[in-house]
Amino acid sequence: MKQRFSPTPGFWLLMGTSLAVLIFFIWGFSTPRLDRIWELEEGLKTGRVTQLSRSEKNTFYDVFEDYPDYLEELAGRRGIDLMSSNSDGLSLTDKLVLIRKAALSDCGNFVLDVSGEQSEFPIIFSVQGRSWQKEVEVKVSGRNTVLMPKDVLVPEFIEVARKNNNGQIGNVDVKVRFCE
Amino acid sequence: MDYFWKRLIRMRLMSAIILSLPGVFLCVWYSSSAVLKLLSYQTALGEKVAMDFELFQVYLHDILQRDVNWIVYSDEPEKSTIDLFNLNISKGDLITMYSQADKDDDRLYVPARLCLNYQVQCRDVEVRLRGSRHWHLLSRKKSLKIRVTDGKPFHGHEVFNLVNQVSPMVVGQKVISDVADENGVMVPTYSFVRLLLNGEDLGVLHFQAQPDDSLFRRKAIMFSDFYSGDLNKKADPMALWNDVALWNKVTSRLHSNKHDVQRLKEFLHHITQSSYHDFARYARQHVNFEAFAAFEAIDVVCGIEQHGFRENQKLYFDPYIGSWVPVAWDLAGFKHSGVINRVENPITIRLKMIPEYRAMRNKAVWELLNGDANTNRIRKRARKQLEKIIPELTNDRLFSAYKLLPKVNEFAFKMLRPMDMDKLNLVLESEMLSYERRHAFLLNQLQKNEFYYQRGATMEVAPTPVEPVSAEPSDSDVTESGELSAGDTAASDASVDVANGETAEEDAPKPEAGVLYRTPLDIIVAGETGVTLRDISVAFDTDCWHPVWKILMGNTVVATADKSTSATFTFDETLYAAVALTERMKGDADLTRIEVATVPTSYPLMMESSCKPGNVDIFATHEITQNRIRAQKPDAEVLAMLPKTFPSEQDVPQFSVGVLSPHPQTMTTPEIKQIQLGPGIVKVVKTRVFNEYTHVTIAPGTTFEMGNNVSMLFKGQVMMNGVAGNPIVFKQSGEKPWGGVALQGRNTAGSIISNVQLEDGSNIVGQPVVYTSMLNLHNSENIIVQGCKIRNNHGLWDAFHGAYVKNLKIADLTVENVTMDAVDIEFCTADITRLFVRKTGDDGLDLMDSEVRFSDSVIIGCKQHGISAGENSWLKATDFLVARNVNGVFGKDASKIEIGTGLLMRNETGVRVGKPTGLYSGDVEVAASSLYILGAKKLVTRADRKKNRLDDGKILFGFVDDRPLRHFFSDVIDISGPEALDEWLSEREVH
Repeated sequence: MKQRFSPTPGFWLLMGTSLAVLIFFIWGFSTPRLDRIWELEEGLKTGRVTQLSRSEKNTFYDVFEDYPDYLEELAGRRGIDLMSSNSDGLSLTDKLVLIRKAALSDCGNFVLDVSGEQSEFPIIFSVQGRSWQKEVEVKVSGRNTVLMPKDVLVPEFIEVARKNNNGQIGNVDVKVRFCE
Repeated sequence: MDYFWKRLIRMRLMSAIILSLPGVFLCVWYSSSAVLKLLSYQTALGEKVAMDFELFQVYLHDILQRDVNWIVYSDEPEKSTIDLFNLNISKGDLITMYSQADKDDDRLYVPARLCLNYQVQCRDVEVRLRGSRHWHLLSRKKSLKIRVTDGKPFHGHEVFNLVNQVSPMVVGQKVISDVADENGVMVPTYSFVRLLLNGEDLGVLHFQAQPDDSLFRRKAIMFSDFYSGDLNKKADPMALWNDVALWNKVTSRLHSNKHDVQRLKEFLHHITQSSYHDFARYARQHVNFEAFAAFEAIDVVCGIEQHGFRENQKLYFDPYIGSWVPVAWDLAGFKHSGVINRVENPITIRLKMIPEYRAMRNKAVWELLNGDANTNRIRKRARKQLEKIIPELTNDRLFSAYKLLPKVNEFAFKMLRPMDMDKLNLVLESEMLSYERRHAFLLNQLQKNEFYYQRGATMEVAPTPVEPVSAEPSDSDVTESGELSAGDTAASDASVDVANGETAEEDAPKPEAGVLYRTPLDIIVAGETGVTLRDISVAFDTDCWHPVWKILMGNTVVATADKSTSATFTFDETLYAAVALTERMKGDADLTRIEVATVPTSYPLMMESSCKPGNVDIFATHEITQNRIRAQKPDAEVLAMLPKTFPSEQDVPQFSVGVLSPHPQTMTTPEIKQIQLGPGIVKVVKTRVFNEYTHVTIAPGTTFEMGNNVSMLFKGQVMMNGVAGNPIVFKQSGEKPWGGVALQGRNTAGSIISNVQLEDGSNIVGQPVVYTSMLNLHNSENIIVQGCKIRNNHGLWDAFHGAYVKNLKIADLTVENVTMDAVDIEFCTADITRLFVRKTGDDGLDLMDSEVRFSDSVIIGCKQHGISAGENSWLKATDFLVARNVNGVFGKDASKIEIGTGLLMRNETGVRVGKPTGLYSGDVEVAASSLYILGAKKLVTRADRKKNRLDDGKILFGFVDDRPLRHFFSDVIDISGPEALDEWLSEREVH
């Protein structure tokens, strides 16, 4: 009959401290949440990141909750701004990512100023917020106001993508304008 | 194995504690390191932020990452592409230096040895900590200020900084500095170095020269008074501008006025206390608009916000131009927010209330955006700089930056974090994209058409012909009364040439009898750009077969048409929008975040026509793009913003939100007046200054009898039209010497000084500008001096002084019997021919940082050098005789002297080159094709070379071959040949 050994307190102590040390270092080496956010923000700005995953959005939402000033910084005076890569509002990526606060300013809606060859039209844009979704059909070049819920409960990312071209924007310029 | 597990499971408590200790110790070590770092950062920043797991983890992560880097990184690259500074400080001195960290100023210097690139020969220097921000002091890589103590400048610098620059865009400031430097901004030298401190590799630091006399030398300007103003963030924003004592006078032109800050006090007084009118008047004379516009343009284009109310104010006063120039310092930028100026300060605010300054600033911005600062060029510059230092940065274990966390709060945003190449590339891309956005934003702001017109209701006035409207008396009709001395004869002698002012009477159309229609047309200018009215077209009904009409601005006719539907404007002034101080964010009236924004401004026009007008189209020239633009109909927003009243130009503005500038039309420069003086005797009993807007013509045969110390200054163009037999004479009226004559400033460009004789004068006193001669030409271009004579000056002053004059032409100038230099040329480009100098107390021709062609001239009897070329000058001399001086030709400080044919006779030393001072980079070079040196005790003496000889060319000791001199003998001094030279010379020599 084999002798059974019950673990001693020393064993538990060693296991406990080893595990704690391991967790400590894994935690220490893991990318901090704010670091990740910074990378995503810069990635969006430069076009390296074109779309946020659900978990990434949730990380942002968590940070917004913990640091309301950060949301103010991103959304600006209007309460809404374009975060994805752009040059003075002209999108440089296929998908547009906007951030908005729960309450918009008076000129909070945004306008998609679309221009391109007539053969590209009509273009259907899918506009998706946190809890709402809509489609905007653009038949000719020009400005199209995207009406959104004036007030939502929490801040949200709004993603705009072309629906009828496999998500590719194609030979079309899209400029986002605000307060128009 | 079983045994191991058995032992493990049955481990005793003490053994477990001992085995756990290293891990626990590591955890405690790293945790406490993170906490300590966080606490020291808190202390340095002066912000109390609650310690939470979020920040703790960031610090822990960074410390762990840094230790990994420490293991992984190799030593510094073997072949460094940047200078390696090896600094050695004794342990005691190092402790002393570090103990000064908490002092804001007056930190102690400690002695050190500095070696460059492993050179054996090292230099004695003194070092102290620099900067008060946390990144300068918290890291192992600290910012240092170094000054040489052995009197030999280091790369031309006596004081320089090694800065731990922590902007993530590591090459940003270098790129901006280079662009600024190439576009006329005074900016100290900026580069990268690697530092070893007592053998420890501290990685890459930014070399930043001190804004001091090294900068003046590099930018070829006169050493003078330089002031620095920098307060901490908590100081009252206006403190620096209200209290001259808060400024530091870094350099002083004269040692005796080291503590004299009167000139700065006067400038600050004008900024804070002067009315719009008085400030504009002062600024037009004493503020270098071009330099400020160039500097502000860099701030605007690169999105810099370091030059606000409290910080980085560096001002230089040029003694020869008499104007303030900004010096750029701290050029961290590449940020974009939707405003033109990311920060303002009282100088830029007041300057932008002057329309022509704003136009100049906008033009500078436009040129940068389309030239050196276009996105492609900036990207290329950044890449090029990065390529240069990336090998260094990859081995820099202390490479860190701030702004590597999202802006959740200032504490996190400014936290120093380790930097790596991935982050560097991401930041570069991000900053470049920000810059592209800014570039696009600014282009749009500058080129958009904000030119409007608003038409009022047409009124039928009376069934009479159009009454001609009498013109207001033009300023140009007015004589410059009082400019010449009270009660003198000049006023009566002065004939006034009235400018051709067009009057409404001359231009008024003569419509057929019938109804007169009056239609108000208000031009509205908004936005940054100015507009110049170009043409106007008006539609009339088809039954109006002979439309006659005109456009009036006030009482002045600015366009007329007869039987035409279009007319060209004759009014060529540029119209600008006024500006107002606004809050950058609603409700935020903080002075430091104030913004100068344009306000739509109306210019009322009135159309008078013989038929009722239909559609009206007005076109103008867009000042920046030069495009023809059409006036738009203003929208309600523009109309709502139109100010109802403007302040008077005599009002004193406050620096507060809501302050509006006067209507730009009241701030325009005066019209040019023409004044003629002479001929005959003109008594001048007190110093006269003819302003920038006065053009003076002096008739041949005019004699100015000048009172004691009395001078004449011309700030506008002057034509001294003396002729050979009938010269213009400046002489003393009594026994005592008079002062001098000066042409000062850009408006004197194109002036001619012909056949003028000046004698018994000295220099000009009591002016903000320093004048050192009887005849002074400062800060101008294309000036001709011909057939003039200057002699017998008094006091220790030069006879002729040119400073900052481009394309100065001097011909047939005779200078005799003067106490100091005959001709002193500083920072000029000049052609000098047929100069005759005899008997001076110092040099015959003295050059400083100038490019001069010199020919067909004679210099005799100077107590120092016949020709002195110093401070980076370039002299090309041929066909000259320099005789009886201490040194024939003297060169120093990296000057280049190229002699074609020259004759140096009976000088103590033929050619002498001074000892290198190290202030200028490069060697003195003296070369000659045919240099005759006769009767010299020493032919060539060189303190900069081992051998006393020319760098190139030959010396001739006699006239065996005199062919090269024949032109000089026959055409210049009119002798038959060398045999007649002694006699010619003895007739003219000074005994």
